[in-house]
Amino acid sequence: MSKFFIYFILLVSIFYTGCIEPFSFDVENVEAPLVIESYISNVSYNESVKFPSDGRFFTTTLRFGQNLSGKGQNAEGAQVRLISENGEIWYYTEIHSTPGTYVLLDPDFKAIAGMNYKLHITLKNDDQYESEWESFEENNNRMGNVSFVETERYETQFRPGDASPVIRSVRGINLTVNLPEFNSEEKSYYKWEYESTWIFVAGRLSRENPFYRCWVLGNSYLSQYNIAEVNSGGFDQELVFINVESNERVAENLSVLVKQFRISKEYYNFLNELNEQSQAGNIFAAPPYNLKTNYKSINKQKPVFGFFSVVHEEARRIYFSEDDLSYPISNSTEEMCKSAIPPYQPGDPCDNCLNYSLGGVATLSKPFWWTY
Amino acid sequence: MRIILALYFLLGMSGIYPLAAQSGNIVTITEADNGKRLIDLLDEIEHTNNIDFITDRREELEAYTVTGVTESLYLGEFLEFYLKPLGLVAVKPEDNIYLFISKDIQKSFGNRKSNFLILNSGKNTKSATIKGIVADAADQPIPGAQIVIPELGVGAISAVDGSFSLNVKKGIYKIRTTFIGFDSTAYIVAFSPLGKKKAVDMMMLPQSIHLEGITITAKASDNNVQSQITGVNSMNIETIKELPSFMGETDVIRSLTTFPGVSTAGELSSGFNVRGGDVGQNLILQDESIIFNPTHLFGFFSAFNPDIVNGADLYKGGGPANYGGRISSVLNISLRNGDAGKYNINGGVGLVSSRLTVEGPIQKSKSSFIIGGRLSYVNWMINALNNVKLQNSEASFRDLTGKLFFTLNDKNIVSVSGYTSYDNFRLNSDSTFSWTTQNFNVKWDHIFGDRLSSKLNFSNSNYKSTVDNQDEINGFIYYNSINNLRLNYDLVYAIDEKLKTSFGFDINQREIEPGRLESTDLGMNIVPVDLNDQHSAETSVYLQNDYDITSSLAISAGLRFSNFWRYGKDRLFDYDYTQLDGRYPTIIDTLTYAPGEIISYYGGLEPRVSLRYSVSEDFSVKASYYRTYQYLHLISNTVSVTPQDYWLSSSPHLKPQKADQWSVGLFKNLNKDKFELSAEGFYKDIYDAIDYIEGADITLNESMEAGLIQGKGMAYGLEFMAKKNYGKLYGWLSYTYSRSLRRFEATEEYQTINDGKLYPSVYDQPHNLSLVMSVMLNPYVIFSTNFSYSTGRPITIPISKLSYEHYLSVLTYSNRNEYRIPDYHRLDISLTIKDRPKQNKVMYGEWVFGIYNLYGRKNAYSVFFNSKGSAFKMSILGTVFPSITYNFKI
Repeated sequence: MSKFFIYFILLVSIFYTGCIEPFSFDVENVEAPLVIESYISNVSYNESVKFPSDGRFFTTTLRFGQNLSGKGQNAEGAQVRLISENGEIWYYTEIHSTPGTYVLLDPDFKAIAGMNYKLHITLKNDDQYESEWESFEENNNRMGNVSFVETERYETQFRPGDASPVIRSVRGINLTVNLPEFNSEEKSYYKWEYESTWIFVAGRLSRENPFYRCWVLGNSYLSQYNIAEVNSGGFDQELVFINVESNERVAENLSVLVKQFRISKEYYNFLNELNEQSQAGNIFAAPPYNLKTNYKSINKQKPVFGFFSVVHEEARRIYFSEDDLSYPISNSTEEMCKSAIPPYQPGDPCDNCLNYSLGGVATLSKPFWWTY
Repeated sequence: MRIILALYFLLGMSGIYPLAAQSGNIVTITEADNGKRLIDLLDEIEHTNNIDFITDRREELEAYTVTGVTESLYLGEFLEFYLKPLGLVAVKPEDNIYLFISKDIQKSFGNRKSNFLILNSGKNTKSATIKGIVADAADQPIPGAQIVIPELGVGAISAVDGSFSLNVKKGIYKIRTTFIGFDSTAYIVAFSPLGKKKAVDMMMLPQSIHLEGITITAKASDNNVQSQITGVNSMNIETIKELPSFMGETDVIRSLTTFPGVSTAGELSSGFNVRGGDVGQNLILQDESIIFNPTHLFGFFSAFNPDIVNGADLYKGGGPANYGGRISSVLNISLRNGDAGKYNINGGVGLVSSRLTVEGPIQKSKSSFIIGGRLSYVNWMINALNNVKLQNSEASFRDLTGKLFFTLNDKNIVSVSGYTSYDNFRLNSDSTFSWTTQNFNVKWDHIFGDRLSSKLNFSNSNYKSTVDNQDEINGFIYYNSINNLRLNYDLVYAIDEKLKTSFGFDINQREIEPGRLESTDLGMNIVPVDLNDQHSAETSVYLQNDYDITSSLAISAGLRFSNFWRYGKDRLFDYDYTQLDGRYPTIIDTLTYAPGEIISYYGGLEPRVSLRYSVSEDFSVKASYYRTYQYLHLISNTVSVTPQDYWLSSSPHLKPQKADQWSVGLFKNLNKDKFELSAEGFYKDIYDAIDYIEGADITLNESMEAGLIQGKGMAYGLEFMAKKNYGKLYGWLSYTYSRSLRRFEATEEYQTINDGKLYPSVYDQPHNLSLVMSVMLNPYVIFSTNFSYSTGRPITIPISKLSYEHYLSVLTYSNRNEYRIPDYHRLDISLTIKDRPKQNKVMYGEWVFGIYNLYGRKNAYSVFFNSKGSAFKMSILGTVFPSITYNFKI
């Protein structure tokens, strides 16, 4: 009987023990591309402060890609220039604390509608790269109000005790932005980015304790972006779903700066493919392909990647808390912290809000723009 | 007339002595026989040695007198010398029987005993009856075949059991059999009181005249050299069954891949590739109905039931002119007729599937039926294992094949066949892949007379593929399908023995559903999509001539004129190819077509010619050229070929593919056809070959045609084969070196691949080797082994990665198909043990024990990459697979 069982297992193995194992190709002499992240908009640093936000300068980051097992390097010591079609040139300055990051330190610089710009880069070794001419148009750029609607969605979740994933309804809010109606024969393309900030309180401390309340500047929470292809406006565009259950970020106050970019069709396609390519492959996946770039190497045949975009930018800030919901929920970090059983671990954010690090960086300083 | 034998020996012709001695080593002619009349001497020998000399030129022989014999001669030597001046040669088809035939006949028929049929008859009778059976290579009777003695102008039609009889005056005759779809066969028939045969067995081989191809038939051990069939490697269906199989399932397709020039895209991949062509470039016919997916279970098993398949012919070119529509090959699989004499049941029981076939007469000797089915039962095994992944998996297939056969009268035969199959497959996911084939065919064979016959065929082929996802949020059902109606008519006119012509037409009407997406009741997030159905018609007329110019030189020439119409109702886009909208050309107009309105037309002449020159009886040289068009395209933009790949019709934006193929080959048999050697070279140009633009999204995309680009393809190679046909050890070794390359060079950059340089197609496998060997341990025990090796197929891989914005891993890729997955090799063995025959035994059976992938090689089914660029080799059959099957026949 046992022999039969072994035999049986062998047979069943056709559908199961067909194995998947790591494999490596012998890839040699592949030159890693220079990766360029850069954009400019119609909003200068000084104007971005009035979103309101901490403000931002236009930056360009340069680093090299890597082979599949290696690590990329920042491209330091480069000369980065922004050139307009009028021949004006703006130089970026490298920030030495973050090598490979170059900032256009003109607080009033902003792109002008209809003007063509390109980015020119010269590396230390004299390799030169240049983007195509890019511009934005002064139409269909208006941004309506940002609001939220209560919603729920179904998610597949594993929870302790579940033998298999379970479909569950999750309550939350959808951030939406109103796109004012416009008439155009051509489609318009948009990108929305989010900057989140929320209050976190150390639940085991008294409210008077200086480390009780922190403002967390989100760097990975809501770090995604959304893009859309729009024929005409006049509707509310759903942006991002925020789970309100078991989410300490909405326990006190959550503020989201929604930035709307009117982008070119080419940039839209680039972002769309970037998103598609990030999906994991399988044996039935379409053959892979290289993404398009609007940079090129101009004095040598060097690989380069990225998309220099010139966009129209507008932003709205919204605040949200549990009290804004039509139904009660409890995300009290105080209760959560107090219900924990000692001994407490060192570095527990319940004992010091600065220890909090889930998706952002905590600070005791209240942002100057925080008005809620 | 006197002939001086001494001179003969002076001229040093004694070199033939041993041969002559072999043919008459008992009877000797001595000096004492000088002066006798030759005919008297022969009569004397007949009487004293119980020998029969058969000749129809007795009167001529009477004029000769024996002279010049100075030393004892063996009978064979003596006859050879004396008959030569008369233009005669003596052959010895049976012991004690000498048949005097003309040199021309000898040149045509050689010295093979099996070509001369000596029927037993009384010595003093003037007439005799020729009785016999016409059967195919699998010993299946062929009803309706014409049996003709041209010299006498008499003939007969074989009955439903293949039998026939002819009353003739005794003599030496050439008797010829013809039947639609088979090569005509000729034998020399004579009569003798010493003859052992009471009846003659006329074996016919499926038609594959003058064409490059592999004929899986039987017994034609010298077929590759001697017959009109060129470039042929032969293997009968029994040999296919002897090949080591996967899980005990006999697989016609996998057997084909052991021949040179035929390969698979990957382990257990759907379909097969011929001479560097795509899977979709093979026309696969089963009883004239088109099979669009020849596999079960994602390619694990072939779609053809081996118990009902009669034979399979694979033409590695365009096939005869009556075939068309594909540019790489034609695989013609015929179903056998049921036994019209008695009821039979046969089948097999395996561990993952079983099969059962029942056949028998409807009206004895007139009509018959055969029906057979296969059923897999993998699911119970999967479900029995307490594993979450397997419990969420299923795999099964079933098929049913049937055929009815009616002999209406001597001149009319009708057959009806049907085939239905269903597959489903789910592996640890919510998506169930399934596909169905439903084919139906009616064939009417009509004989007008001795020289003219016809075949009218109507068939319907339907293939539908489905993905059913029952996810509670994103549930969907995806379909694609194709339906093909076919009407073809073929007239065959045998002008004489050397020249045969056939002509006819072929009409196909197609409906294609390129893709439809529906949401399930639960699939709230799915937006339905329904691409427009495609309607098209393809017609052709053809003429094929096969002519034996001399006994050495034969030509087969055909001309096919094909036409294609795409028509409405439909909606197509017009594009500006110079302006891109993302990856795709910009849509500048939408064109709507009313039902029946012509959208596009294509057509062309397809000449085919093949030459064979027999250098000697066992050595020939062949050359051929084919031009073929393909108006239907299999779209498969996935890493692996899948059942979900779909077909598209040619359109204003998608031209038909066209191929020109040249080939030349040498064919040599050794040791009385015991061994076959062949070497063939080919070169193929493919025009408007299809590939995909970078980032093409061709699933459920109304602009899918814009994601396709057309360019140049080329394939070339050398194919070698060495085969041992019989003996205790038999089998073959085949090796192919070939390349399959593409070049896509266009003014628009997005239509250019790899900078316009030549690059390998996905099916480019330079080295391909198969060794198939069987050892007959005794008549009832056969050990077989099969070893396969092929170069890994090309693949596009990530070569570097980078981070961009919040994407931590963005991959950059190599040139298209720049790298290769690991080489493939595998060794299988099997042991077949047959029941020994016993009197009155009702059921015969055989056990087949097999081990697939003996050394457990983890061959790559595919290599895929995760989002970080790490490669993973997926081995579907990464271990040793034993199997056991019991086959039976009642």
